[in-house]
Amino acid sequence: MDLSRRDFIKLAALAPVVSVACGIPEKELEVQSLADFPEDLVKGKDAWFATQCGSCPDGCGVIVRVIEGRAKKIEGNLDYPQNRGKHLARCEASLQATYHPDRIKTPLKRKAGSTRGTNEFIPIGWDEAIEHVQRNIRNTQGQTAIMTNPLRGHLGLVVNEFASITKSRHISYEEMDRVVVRKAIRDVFGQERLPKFDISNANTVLSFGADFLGTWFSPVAMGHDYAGFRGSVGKDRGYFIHVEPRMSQTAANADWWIPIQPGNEGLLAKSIAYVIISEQLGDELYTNLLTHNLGVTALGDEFSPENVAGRLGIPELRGKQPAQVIREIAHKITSGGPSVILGGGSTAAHTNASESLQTIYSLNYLTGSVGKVGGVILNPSSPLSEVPDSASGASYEEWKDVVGQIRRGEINSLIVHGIDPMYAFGESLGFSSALTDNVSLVSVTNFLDDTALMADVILPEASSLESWSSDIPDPAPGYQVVGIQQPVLNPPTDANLVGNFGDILLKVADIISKGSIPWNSMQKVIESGFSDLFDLNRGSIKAATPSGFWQGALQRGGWWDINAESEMSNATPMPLPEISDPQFDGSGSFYLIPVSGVGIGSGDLAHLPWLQALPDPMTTVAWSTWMEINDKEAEGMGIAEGDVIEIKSDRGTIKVTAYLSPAAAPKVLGVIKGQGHKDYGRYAKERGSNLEEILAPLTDRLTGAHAWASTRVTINKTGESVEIPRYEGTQLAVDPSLELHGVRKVVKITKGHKH
Amino acid sequence: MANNHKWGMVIDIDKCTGCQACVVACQSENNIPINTEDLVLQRRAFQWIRIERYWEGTYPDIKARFMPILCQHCENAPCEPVCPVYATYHNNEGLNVQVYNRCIGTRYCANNCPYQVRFFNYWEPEWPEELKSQLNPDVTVRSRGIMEKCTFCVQKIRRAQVEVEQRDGEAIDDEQLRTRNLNPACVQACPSDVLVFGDFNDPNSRVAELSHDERHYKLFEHLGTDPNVIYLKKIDLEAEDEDHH
Repeated sequence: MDLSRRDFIKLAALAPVVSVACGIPEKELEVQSLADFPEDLVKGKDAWFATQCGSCPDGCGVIVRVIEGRAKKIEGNLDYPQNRGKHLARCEASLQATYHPDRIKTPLKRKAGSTRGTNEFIPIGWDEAIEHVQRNIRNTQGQTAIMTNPLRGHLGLVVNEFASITKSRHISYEEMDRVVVRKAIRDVFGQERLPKFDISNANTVLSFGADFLGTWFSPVAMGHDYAGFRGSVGKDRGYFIHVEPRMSQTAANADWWIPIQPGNEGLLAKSIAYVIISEQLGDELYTNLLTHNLGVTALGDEFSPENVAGRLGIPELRGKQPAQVIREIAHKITSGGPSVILGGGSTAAHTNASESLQTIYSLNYLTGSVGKVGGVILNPSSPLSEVPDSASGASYEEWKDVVGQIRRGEINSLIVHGIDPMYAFGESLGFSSALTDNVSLVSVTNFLDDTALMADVILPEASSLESWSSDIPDPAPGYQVVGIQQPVLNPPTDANLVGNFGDILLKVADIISKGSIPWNSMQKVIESGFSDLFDLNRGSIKAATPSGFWQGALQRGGWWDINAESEMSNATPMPLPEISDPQFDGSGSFYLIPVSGVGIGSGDLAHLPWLQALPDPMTTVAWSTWMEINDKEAEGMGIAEGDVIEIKSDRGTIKVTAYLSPAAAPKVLGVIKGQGHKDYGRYAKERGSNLEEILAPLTDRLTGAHAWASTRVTINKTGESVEIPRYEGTQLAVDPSLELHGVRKVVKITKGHKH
Repeated sequence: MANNHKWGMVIDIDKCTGCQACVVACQSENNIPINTEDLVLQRRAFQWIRIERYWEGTYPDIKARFMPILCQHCENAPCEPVCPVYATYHNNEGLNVQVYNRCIGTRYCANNCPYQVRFFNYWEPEWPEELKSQLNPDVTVRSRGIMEKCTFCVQKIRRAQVEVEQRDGEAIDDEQLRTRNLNPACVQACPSDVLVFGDFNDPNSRVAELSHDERHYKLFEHLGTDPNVIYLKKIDLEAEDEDHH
């Protein structure tokens, strides 16, 4: 039929009228969408590869959709025990790390005579680059430091081997609250590996500062467990209490958020222990072990709720005084079934952090939750004895020691990968000033981060989608798992790469050891590891031959054995520790609580536009350094949203943008980390402020980890005001006209139980 | 093509943690432009699915509520009758469909949508050349002057019909959607199982079962839009029951 555009529009406008008038069947009037035609589906053959997500240390298994050699989409691997088909925004964004327009694709060398940090690099070939690295290591025999993120799996094995061949010092960096958490876990449960917190089957969860639904260890695994916790077949809805000075995303999901003065979390935990012991609510055996059979006298009445209530800085909640709140928490976690009690985040970033966390994790013994379904389940060790299943970052004091060694000329060659210490420590360690001309800094990275800017040589690597590696998740899901990362696509055609960090190290080690290293590529390392797994003759892959086993592992994204659970730890719980008062740096009246971003983390993912654009769950702000302040307090100080505020500590001053929040506790400022990079690609460059620059260099008394929540600050208006890039209010979910009908609520709430 | 489906979604806001995994999954699957700082400041950011955060109470007894909002695929969609060119219409499987090459950009539909889930391309979307490698070939990139919104990942639904029903001669059930990665991108990603997608006409589907849950309600039900997205109420043992709203 010959139908002009004008006729079509006329016909279209008439159609509904005609259909009513003439009773023509609806189907015949249907205006078909082009999207409905199956022949319009793209015919290109897509391939799905199971691999590991390399965006963050969570260790999620993913599947990647590849069409004509290009990765299109990342999904969770349904098979993989850690994340069971689910994934986070950060996993998705590893596509952008691979296809980033500012990705470095060829080795670079600092121009002769140029000053460090001035971004004057020239491209060089790999032969020259490898020669530079191996010469430096040879010339400075035993004076090399390898700086990485904590490495598990076969990359950990390779780096250990490399450090041993080259007699290098290996030092790792991770957010320092994790260093404290790992020590507490070690002390309380007697093992290095993190346990599985069986939130899914728990009756009550009590968390002290651990943002486990947002940024803490493995939010995708814990988020999945949280779904079960909130109600599943045969299980009542669990009750969740969260203690934290700031309302984080995880606090926002709690049934009861307990705001507390920073640094007092351990004291609260001890008072909860006092109630459990004095009212005999808990496990008798462990009560006796933890108190040396002394019962409540081991703690002393100074920890009774009535005696500590005034020191905690907990406001009256739901009409209840703090002492009553403490008793109620103690009763909640000891009744109705197993509980999970965990701590981290800002709770683990005070000068008394280790003492607090040891007390907090010990509550799991008091409530009888250790080794029980719905409690804390210990994880088994690596099925491959030489492959690390857990790794801890070094403390602030250890890093200070390394910088001291560089300054004294005891370390002259640095290889950095996976971390950005120049950014993470700001100026506090004097890292950049220690880099004299005698020191060689090699940065293995694909982006010009603050450390790469200071480097002599930058080596680009194949991304996680383009190379081989493996992972042993930590925390594991309660049994042995080894995940496999395989290349799902080729590196960009204009890139000149030799492989990933492991491949580069193996190449250098091969020259230095004169060919005595057993592998020549990461692929060989992984293959050899999986051959050892085949020899175990158990687990998820049933195959008659090693090659069949290898194919199975590649198809499923790894190997696991659900029967390989941990033996119960025979660690004797230590008595509850003394808890010192938290120390703070500065005399300002505000407590500064640094906040990790759900997208950009602590800045390591700030180069990826999807994550920069991701709204913070609480403030809905993106792309900037914001400061969250109590709305009434701000109004009292004449501060409005968008005001540019100067935050001043004894260490320095930064500028941030004010966001007024009704949920912020008075005198507590939440400030987002992760911005303020000198470069790091077009999406991060010179955006916002680096919060690390004003943090006090105080450390946890027992571990020497950075106590990053122990800074007190003053704030001043600069007189400048900007529009804050927030999503809130971008779209009005509630049409204002609807208010006329008396209907405003879109979130409906019920009191009912759910089974 | 089988026409006996009624696609829909159930959203259990008791489980939503506000993690934003759905937001990026959607952007990746559907070639949504990067929400640059300028777009956010102009209030023109594209979020086919977004997490709204509401406050209730006052400090310290204050609660935050997270709520995923996306096109509700209304049976009586206010956006549909106002489109002069039938660029948006209701198909017979419960989808509110946007036909990009019919759209002439009047923006009437967005103005008439009480859920504010339609997004207009005021400018030509731009990606750096390298990032274009990631674009999904199943989904058209919308040009300047075109309205866009959540499609329930219609490209995956069509794939399900072609591959599962026509090629393999099997029925599309929850298991097929889940294991063959045919659920909408947001559903596939959601770590805490907030979003459930399926066929309301399939009595064995999870959405059909959940649509009878005692907590179910629809957004702005009183407007008579009859959405195909059903919400399950947040549970709060301390709050007043809000059934009367």
